[in-house]
Amino acid sequence: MKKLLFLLFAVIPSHSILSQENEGNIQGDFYLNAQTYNEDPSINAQKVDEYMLLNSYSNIRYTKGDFIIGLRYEGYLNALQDFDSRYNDNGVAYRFAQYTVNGLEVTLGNFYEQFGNGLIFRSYEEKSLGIDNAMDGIRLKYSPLKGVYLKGFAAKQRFFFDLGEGLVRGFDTEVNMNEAISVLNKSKTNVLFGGSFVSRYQQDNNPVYNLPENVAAYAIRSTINRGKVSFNGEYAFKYNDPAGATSYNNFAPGSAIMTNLSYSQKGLGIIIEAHRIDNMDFRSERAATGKELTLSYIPAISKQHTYTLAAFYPFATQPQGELGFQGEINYTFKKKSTFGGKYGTKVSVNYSRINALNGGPSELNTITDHTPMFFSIKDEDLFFRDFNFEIKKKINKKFKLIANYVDLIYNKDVIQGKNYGKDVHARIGIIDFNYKIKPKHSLRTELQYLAVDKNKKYDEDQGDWMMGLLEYTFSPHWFFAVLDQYNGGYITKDGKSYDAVHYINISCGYSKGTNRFELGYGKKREGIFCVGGVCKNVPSSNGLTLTVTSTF
Amino acid sequence: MKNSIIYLGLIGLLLSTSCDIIEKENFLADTSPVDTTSNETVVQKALIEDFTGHGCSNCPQASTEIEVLQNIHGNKLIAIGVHSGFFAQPQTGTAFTTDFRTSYGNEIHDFFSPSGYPVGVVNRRGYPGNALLNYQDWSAELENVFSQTPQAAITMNESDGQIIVEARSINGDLDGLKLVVCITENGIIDWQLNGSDNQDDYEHNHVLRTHLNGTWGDEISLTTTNSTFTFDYTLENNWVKENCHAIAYIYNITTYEIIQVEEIHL
Repeated sequence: MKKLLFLLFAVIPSHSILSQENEGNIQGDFYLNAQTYNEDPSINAQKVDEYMLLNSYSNIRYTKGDFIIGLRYEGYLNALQDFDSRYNDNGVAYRFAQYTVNGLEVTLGNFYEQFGNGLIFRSYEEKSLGIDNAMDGIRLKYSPLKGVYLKGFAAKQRFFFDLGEGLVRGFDTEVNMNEAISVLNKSKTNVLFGGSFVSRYQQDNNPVYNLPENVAAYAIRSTINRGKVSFNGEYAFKYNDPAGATSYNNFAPGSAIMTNLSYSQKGLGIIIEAHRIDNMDFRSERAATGKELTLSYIPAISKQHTYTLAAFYPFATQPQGELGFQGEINYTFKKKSTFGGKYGTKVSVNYSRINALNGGPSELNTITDHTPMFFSIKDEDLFFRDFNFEIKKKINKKFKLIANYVDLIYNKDVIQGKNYGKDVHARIGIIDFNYKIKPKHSLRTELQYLAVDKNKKYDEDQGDWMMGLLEYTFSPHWFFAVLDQYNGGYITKDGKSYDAVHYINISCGYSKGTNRFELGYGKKREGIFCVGGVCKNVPSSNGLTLTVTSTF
Repeated sequence: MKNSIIYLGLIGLLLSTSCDIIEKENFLADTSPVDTTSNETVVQKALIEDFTGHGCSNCPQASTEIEVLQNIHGNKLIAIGVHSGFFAQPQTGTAFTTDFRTSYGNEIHDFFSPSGYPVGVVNRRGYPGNALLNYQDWSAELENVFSQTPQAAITMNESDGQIIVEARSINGDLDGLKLVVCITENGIIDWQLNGSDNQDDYEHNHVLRTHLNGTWGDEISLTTTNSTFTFDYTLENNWVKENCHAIAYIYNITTYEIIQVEEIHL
């Protein structure tokens, strides 16, 4: 690593060269998030021995013509409480060199990549979740013919500050028919086909089972657009991929199919999508679990709520097996119409439902041979159901309103791996007011209420929640916010009793140029935080937070 | 360009052959019994500390894995079930009221901070970054442990409420070590979440009951001559002596790696 770093900086021109004409371009960014942790028995918050924890990273990238080199320094000193402690380290976790010559793009070192929708391969980072499954190896991209795009790589995958054991090879082809075939150049129908193949090598030293050392997956996809209608579909298949225990192994293949049909015109958008996932957890190490060493990525098929209480019970995609549907209609009532008023009104209605596969995911071993029915909803274990709608309305020049209603059922046992035996049924109402006091000064308020269904067939979990937020923005430099989440108290299944508590949080931010500072203090509740169907557990905490971001 | 197309075509061809498909009749390997009666006087043994809990639906799979691995490796493999963390919490108002947790197990849990169960450490190798292993990885890690040349030897005896541990180095003096002695119990029938079933007659084995010299043990130095360490022990009323074992292990203070482990039946 040290040698590579030396090489990296050896090729960055010195300042004297930079000051010449073809000096290239250096860009970068910096991020720091630090928090102190105080003990607070009222919310079960723990203090940490270090008193303060922090995550930070900085990307630095040098570009000159078709040549790019870059690195990312990461410092987890030590990692924030909601991040895996295996991140506790600092150093250059990501470095690469890339050049393009005669249409061939060569990347050496680290890279992120995605084939199609990511069903068999998506290497990405989502710092807020503690996910970084960057690849480390070589990657080539080439377009041999107009409209034909090829990608290939061979690499290992990041595992905290180390690399996973598996060796991953991948190849992807995408053909844009309208570009590739001249007679279709002016066609109103745009058609794109793609195919990808990924293979993982990992040695078999299992004393009981014969494990496949090379496990492969392939996917085919298509996107077709014509006018206002667009279709995207992908099918993926994974060959036998047992996890490698000596007591039990599942040799069943995996598969995934996803389709998305959308219609869009001015003022109206309709999306209908469905997916079926069966035994499709594909990783660069056969026994890996959690968020680590993932190759496959299953896009979420439920609405990703952003308001705090709407996101209280988020669905985490189940790569082992699920059948999901989602539909959404977005409509804008025109200005000066009955519902549109002076400025128009935007309405969005969304419904999603995700259930288990019939009899569970595919299973194949010496005793069991099970393949679930392709399509089955009735009597299947419900994982998640969400009906929600949103109204956005500009009342006058100074006043905007957003109203949200969410009605969801959440299978806590499956999503959180717990043993409650009952689903949670929650209804959430949200009102968001934005008032422009005068130019550059605005006030925003959120009022939210989450009510759990008290019917005995449902789990009451933590009971009802209320939330209020007041945010004052004095652009372009300042913002101040006060937030309170209130819970009336509850008793957990393990007998712990929690009193009513206010989670009060105050924060302020200052921006100048490309630098931004934010300081906050207060209580944070325990919860689950998700991005795109991938989730992490966040413990409760009480302390001071500091966030600094900067770009250059 | 022509060369590039050929080159990329070759990569595609290479990838298309990169897949092994195992037919059902070949799932199981042709295994010959592993020789656990080594002629060597001292063999390297391994300890799996399995972080588990009665509320963890997949933990029985890890326990089964230990059984299979012990069938393969015989007495070279010793196990401790460390009931700790969220999944080990007793749940009032349900059948899961037994508290298998110990303060020692809780400390070990907090030290390694497992975030998902089941998970375990094999001789605590790989600390800090790579110690926690899913149970599917234990077999491979055991091969790494058993391929090591032992640095130390432990023999144990029990007499009149005392555990007597004798330990020595194999070559030259060894220091910077700690010795831990603990007691485990097998055959405890109690509730366990097993998959989606609440099982009332689940047999809990290797359950950590207590430590005799603290969570992290006593510092020791070893020479090639045996050193003797004696520990008094008392079993609580609900522990069945016939099902109890005493385990002694020695680990490196700096790396936390366990260099040797031994077990006797009480």
